[in-house]
Amino acid sequence: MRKFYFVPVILILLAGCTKEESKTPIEAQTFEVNATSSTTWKYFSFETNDTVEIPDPLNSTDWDLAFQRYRIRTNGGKSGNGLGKAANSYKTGQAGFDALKIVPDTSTFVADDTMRIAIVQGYATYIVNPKLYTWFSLEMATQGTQIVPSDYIYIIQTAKGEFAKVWFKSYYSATNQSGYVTFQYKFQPDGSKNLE
Amino acid sequence: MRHLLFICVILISSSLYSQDATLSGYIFLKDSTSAAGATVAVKGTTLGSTADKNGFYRITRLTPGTCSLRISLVGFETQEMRQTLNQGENRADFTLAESDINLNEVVVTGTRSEKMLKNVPVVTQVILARQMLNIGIINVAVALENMVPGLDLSQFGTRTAVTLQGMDAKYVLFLVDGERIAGEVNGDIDYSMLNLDNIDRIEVIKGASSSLYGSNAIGGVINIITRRISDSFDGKLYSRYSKYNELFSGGGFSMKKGIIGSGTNFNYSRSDGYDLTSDSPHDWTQNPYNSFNIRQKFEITPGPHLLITPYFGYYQFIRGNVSARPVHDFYQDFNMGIKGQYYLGNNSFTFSYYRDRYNTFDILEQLNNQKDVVSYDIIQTPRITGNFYISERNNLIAGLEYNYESLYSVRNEGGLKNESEGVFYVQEDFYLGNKLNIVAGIRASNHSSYGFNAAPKVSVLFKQGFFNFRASAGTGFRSPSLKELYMNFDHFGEWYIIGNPDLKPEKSKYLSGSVEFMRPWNNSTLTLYRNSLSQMITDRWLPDSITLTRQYQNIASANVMGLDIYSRQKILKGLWISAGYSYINSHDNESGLQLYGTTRHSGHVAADFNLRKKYYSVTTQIYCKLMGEKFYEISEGTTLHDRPYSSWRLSVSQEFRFIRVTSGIDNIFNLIIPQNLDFISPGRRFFIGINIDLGKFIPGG
Repeated sequence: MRKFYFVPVILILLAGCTKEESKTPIEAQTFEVNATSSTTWKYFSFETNDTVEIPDPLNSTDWDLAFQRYRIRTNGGKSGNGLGKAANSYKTGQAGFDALKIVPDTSTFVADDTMRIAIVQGYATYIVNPKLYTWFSLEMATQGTQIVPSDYIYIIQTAKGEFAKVWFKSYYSATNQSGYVTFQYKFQPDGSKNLE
Repeated sequence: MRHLLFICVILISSSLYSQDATLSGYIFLKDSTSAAGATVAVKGTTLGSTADKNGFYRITRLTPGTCSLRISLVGFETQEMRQTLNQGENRADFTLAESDINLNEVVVTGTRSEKMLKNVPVVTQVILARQMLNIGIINVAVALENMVPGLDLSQFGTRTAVTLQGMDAKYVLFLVDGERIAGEVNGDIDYSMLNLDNIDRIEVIKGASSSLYGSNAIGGVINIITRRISDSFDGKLYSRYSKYNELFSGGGFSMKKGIIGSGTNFNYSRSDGYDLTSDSPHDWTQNPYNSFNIRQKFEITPGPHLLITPYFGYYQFIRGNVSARPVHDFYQDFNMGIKGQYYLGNNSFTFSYYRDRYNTFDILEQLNNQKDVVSYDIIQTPRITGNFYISERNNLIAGLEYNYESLYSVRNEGGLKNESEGVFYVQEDFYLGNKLNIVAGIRASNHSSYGFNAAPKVSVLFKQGFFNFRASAGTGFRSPSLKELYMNFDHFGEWYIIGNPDLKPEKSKYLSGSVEFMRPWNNSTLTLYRNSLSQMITDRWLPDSITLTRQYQNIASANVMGLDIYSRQKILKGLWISAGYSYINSHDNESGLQLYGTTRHSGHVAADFNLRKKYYSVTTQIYCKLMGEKFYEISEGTTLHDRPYSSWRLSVSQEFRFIRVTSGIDNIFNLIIPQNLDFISPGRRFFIGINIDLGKFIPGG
């Protein structure tokens, strides 16, 4: 099914080229990325609406987000040579995914950097996007620790400098496997700050 | 040939009928009212009777000569007496005396034979289900926490965890009618399976002082004894309601027709759950749930010397989902078994087969509530026991047992694993002089994983005036669980826990001494104990593995010392005060820390008032639980603790003819402690329960 999204995206891109101030509503999409591996990263591109194979992620602008378990990267800073960075919109997904209509001028974008993350025995250092590291909280529950989405809406600047809003909704697959990050997003391919 | 057959028939029928004796009569209470529901049992046989609403009983098919009778009724002193029976009709009336301390209560757990509480060398505490129901307690775990000094409940996630004398549930053996219960998680069984409605009593033995029981009986044995089926029709319906739509409802019917008796019990419970910590909305203090339980038991007595008891039960529990995961839990249990008891003179033999299967499922909400198996645990035990009468003062018990367990878990290496154990046990129960009773036994077993193990035990009872002195020394053990042997748990590929097939059983040495004071107006017990554990199984980081891996090893050791006090004192007629106190000092020899989740000081104080009239009775109880600071020492310097608290409960239970209304207040002073593992309460809650005793207004069969 996902391959068919390709066509409308190209159409929107073409439309964006011909009309300067496009008000064409952009489609909200939902994607589940299999980030179960704790050693390799899964790369995602807003343009293709899908995961992509990236042989040299540090020198590629063909990806926008990368996932490894609950850790998320953007294509910028220490993670890549793109323009990628992320900001927190301070709106929550449950109440206002649609309410966030434009990239606020007050947004503070942060690029990827090294973070010291507590693991089971001491600490480990990872390169992640520090803003996106707030997408979940850890809570003790019935079946041990659970990852609970914090429901923030993030604004992502893509590798090529366009904008998207993203709401990370779940860490579990339908079969209750962890490491499956489900997120809803709206990608504005015309380079404008309009996210309506 | 035909004549011979005829003579045979005559002989058989005459031996069956014409030489029979019948015993009948009335059982009264002290105020001459009838003791409806009192039971008369003929020891050494399957025979017995239950008094009808007029207090009348009748036992047929007795053998002329002398027999030994036991007359009992909850709330009254059990009587034992010898009766001479002539051929034909015999008549005997009995009068029962009211008693709040019934030391003539018969218990079985300590010695695997029926003994009166006051005569059993192993310190045993009995909790009568009827008394708990009278004060509005339905759940077995809650009853235990209320009544047993040194027994404590905590909540971890949605599981209830028990500790007894500082030892966690891994070291406590839970039994129903002497059989293990499947489906434990870290030693804790699913306590919501166990309701008091179809049980008679709970017997609690602390420490490794009870011979004959196997693995896990290091911290103690808790044996839940189900009710026998009475002669006359008995039916009960009850319902209890409190805040958050918490509902317990159920009932039971039992009847006897000819040689077959049947008992059915069912129970439904539900709650909307509640959350005391609003900052973690995906983790409620108490999840919503609904649960259903049904049990069926038959008692077949083909003759005066044989009793066959087939039974089965089904239980299910569905927990509502409030977590961030698209899944909720479904638990299920099927158990079945058959037990036969055969009396031969003064000897008796018991054979039994028991099977229990506990399933856990994930219900996947996004896939049309598809059920995925997470684990199942099957326990099977055939057993044969002989109780040999050597002399009036010497009894020998010997038995063979085979335990088989299969555990399937997605976290097991290879999924399905099993283990088995063949057991021989023998126990001598003898008197030296008039005052000294000694019970000594040994349990030898051969386990499929670690081989041979022997656990000897000895208990002594010395009677002097109003005092009973008891001492026990024993060794206990705990077999490594299938999880500890074969686990392969991959924590997101970041770290692992693996089992260890070379594990040996954990060992313990238990010493205890106690003194008991017994008068009709006071019953007090003081117990001192010491439990030393070695080869304790605990998971440790493997030093030089590439991936972070923890593995189970037999490396830890610990010492637990403590004392328990229990006292019950009569103030006025019907008014009693009871108090319990427990001191526990535990020490992990390796870390030098207190054992995880132990409380040094805990106790309770209660007052209860009982008034009984011809058609009306009332029981009022005020109960206060006192809990000292509880420690969770994680490492030197990092100590979590739950603060001390006291929690109060009031209940009033009124019975008028066949209807009983129990009402009360849980947590009177509205104590709320969020984030406390030990005290789970949403604050003050009123409850009301109604119990209808159909047996009292429908004529018996």
